[in-house]
Amino acid sequence: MRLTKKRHSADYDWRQDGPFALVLPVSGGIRIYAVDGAAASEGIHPGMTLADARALLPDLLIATADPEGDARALAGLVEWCGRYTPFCAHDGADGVVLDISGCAHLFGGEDGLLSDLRARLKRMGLTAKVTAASTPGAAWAWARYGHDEMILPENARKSLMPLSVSALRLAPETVERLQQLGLHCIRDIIDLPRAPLARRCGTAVLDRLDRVFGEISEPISPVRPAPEWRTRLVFPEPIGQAEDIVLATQKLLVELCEILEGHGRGARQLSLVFYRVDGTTQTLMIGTGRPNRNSEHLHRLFLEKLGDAAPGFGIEMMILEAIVTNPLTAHQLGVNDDTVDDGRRLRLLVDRLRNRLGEAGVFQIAPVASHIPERAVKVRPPVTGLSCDQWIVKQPRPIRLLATPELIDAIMPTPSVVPARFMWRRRTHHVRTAEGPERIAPEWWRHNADRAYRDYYRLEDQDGRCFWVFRYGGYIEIADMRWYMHGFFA
Amino acid sequence: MEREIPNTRSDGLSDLRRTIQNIERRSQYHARTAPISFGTAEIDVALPWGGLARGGLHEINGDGGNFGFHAGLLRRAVGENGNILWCRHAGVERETGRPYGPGLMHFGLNADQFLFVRSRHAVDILWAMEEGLRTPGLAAVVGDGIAPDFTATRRLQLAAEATNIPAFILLPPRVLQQSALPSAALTRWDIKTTCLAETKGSTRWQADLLRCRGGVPKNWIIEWNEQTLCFHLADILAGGANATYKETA
Repeated sequence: MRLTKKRHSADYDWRQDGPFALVLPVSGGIRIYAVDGAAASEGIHPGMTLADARALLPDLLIATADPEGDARALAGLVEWCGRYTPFCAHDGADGVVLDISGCAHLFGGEDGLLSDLRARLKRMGLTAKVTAASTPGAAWAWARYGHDEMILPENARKSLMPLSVSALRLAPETVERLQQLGLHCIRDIIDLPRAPLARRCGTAVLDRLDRVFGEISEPISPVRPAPEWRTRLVFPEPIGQAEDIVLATQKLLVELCEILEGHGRGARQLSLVFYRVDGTTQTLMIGTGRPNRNSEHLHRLFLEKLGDAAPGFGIEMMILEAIVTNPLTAHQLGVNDDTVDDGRRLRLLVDRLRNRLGEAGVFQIAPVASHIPERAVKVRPPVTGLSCDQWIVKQPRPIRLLATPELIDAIMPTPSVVPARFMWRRRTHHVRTAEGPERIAPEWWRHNADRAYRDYYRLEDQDGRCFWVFRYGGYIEIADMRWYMHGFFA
Repeated sequence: MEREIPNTRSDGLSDLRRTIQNIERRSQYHARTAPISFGTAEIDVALPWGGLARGGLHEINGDGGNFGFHAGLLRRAVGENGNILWCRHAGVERETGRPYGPGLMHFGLNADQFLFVRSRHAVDILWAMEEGLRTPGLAAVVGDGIAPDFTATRRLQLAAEATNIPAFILLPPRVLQQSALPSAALTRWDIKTTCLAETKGSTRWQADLLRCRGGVPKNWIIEWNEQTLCFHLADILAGGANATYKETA
């Protein structure tokens, strides 16, 4: 399948009609980037300088090309082609390749699929050349160099014979070399002895030939990983109302969950793709902590996301895919509240929370064997019902810890003792009692560890508030005599 | 007539079954609905629920000295292994720090009891709290560093009532002055630390019950006992206001 598309910049005046070209400033001047049929028939071809083109055709209409925009639009089109098959990929800068094996019957056979595709592309305002063939290589050649848009039958050697050697997806130098040798068509090289041909023109020629004729298989790597399970819903009329989308999602979920149940799987990650009438798509994703196939729960997760749904001019099709699934043995899924145990409820809660707040927003804490206060706690993803180790706390520890210790202004009678009062956050605290020090040694075996000891003190101020402060001590020179606030008791 | 007998019988049987079920459930239900006791009768009797109402929203205000009181209350509410959903506002973290696991252990709370939620948006925190309050497997829900408006507190209060899960809100420090903030919470506490208690590692709070639905405002000076995991009234004469300095090293 081949697609030639033109995106016109805003500065193109649609009221004027005539030969049209897109230009792109490159090193060495402005060159023609793409041309339409009328311009091509006047002898203008891509790669020409604009000055040459203007000399040939003074009233050529031009607009600036936008290759990045084209690439984005093509990526959007590839996504959109997901409506036909999960295996779709880019094919160069101007093509889309689809693997339609096993999908064509959904659209009334290959003919039906192709004519549907053609009609839709035309409605989107795209000029496209759509063909189908038994190998990607043959389809590529036929879409670009074939003379009509028919479907190549299984044994189409004959139709491919008269095509130019450039239909083999060869590098321009190789094509040039072949042509210098007088080999212009596929017919000319197909029966040549293979070894001398490879020696003179490189093995690429043979490789490409084999790919065209199916001697070497050429799988299509889809842009998105192919989902294991999917369900689709096509609407006779495009929908746009929020309630309709919610209902359709529910319907798809029920269907998908039935399929998953039949296969003993539970979904971990789901994507819902909206195919809008204007040929654009939108994807909503949800994830679950544990494999799940409860359509009600998944629906609740999607409800959170459906707020972002932008139907645009209407959605004509929705596809729900289970991207990641895990085995989930059959068990009695609770229907009424009494049979659902607390652990399960918690897992579902975690799913809902993570879905809205993100993976990093929901977590649990676990101990780490370290004496350094800020290292003693690690954050872990929530696993409910799993008990973990506990801290072994021999010394008092604050109930709140500052993420980064804050410098305090300490006023000390002599350098060796604890402050008599200190300023912290623009407030003066008079120290009533102090306990300490508790010396915490640096972890020298770690690469980026502190090098100094920390002497922690528990200071209580005139209001009874208790602070955990420290200063560096030990063998380093007493250069850093500053005090740091690290946590709060009570 | 004869045909009615089996009907009444089966009705009687199902009634009986229901009764047995209710009896069986009652003890479970009781643990889930009993008020939260402070562990000291003086405070419990002063509250209209004979403790702190379990299905309700309680606000704890204080200028940084309220965390221990809150942790103790949380331990009283959830027991040894109840699950806590702790939703904290990332914005006040710089000011008040993060809950620190080893410190919470002094209050009898273990790391695996906590499920933390962290967000920069108060709306998300309120949403998460409400989701938690609708999940019967939880023993308590905490909102840390948010000052919800009246409507939000009303929603939380209703959700807490429906599932009998206590909800605590730790107001951010700057709300201290705005103690007239309208709220549908059952109680609002203002907690201040007072001078050091004699026992090491324990603190003494002046707990002002500012607002109490169906009760009267009152205040106490209380302490937390790490061994019994109870609050108790402080002996006011003990541990006077003398500045003492101990260096243990």
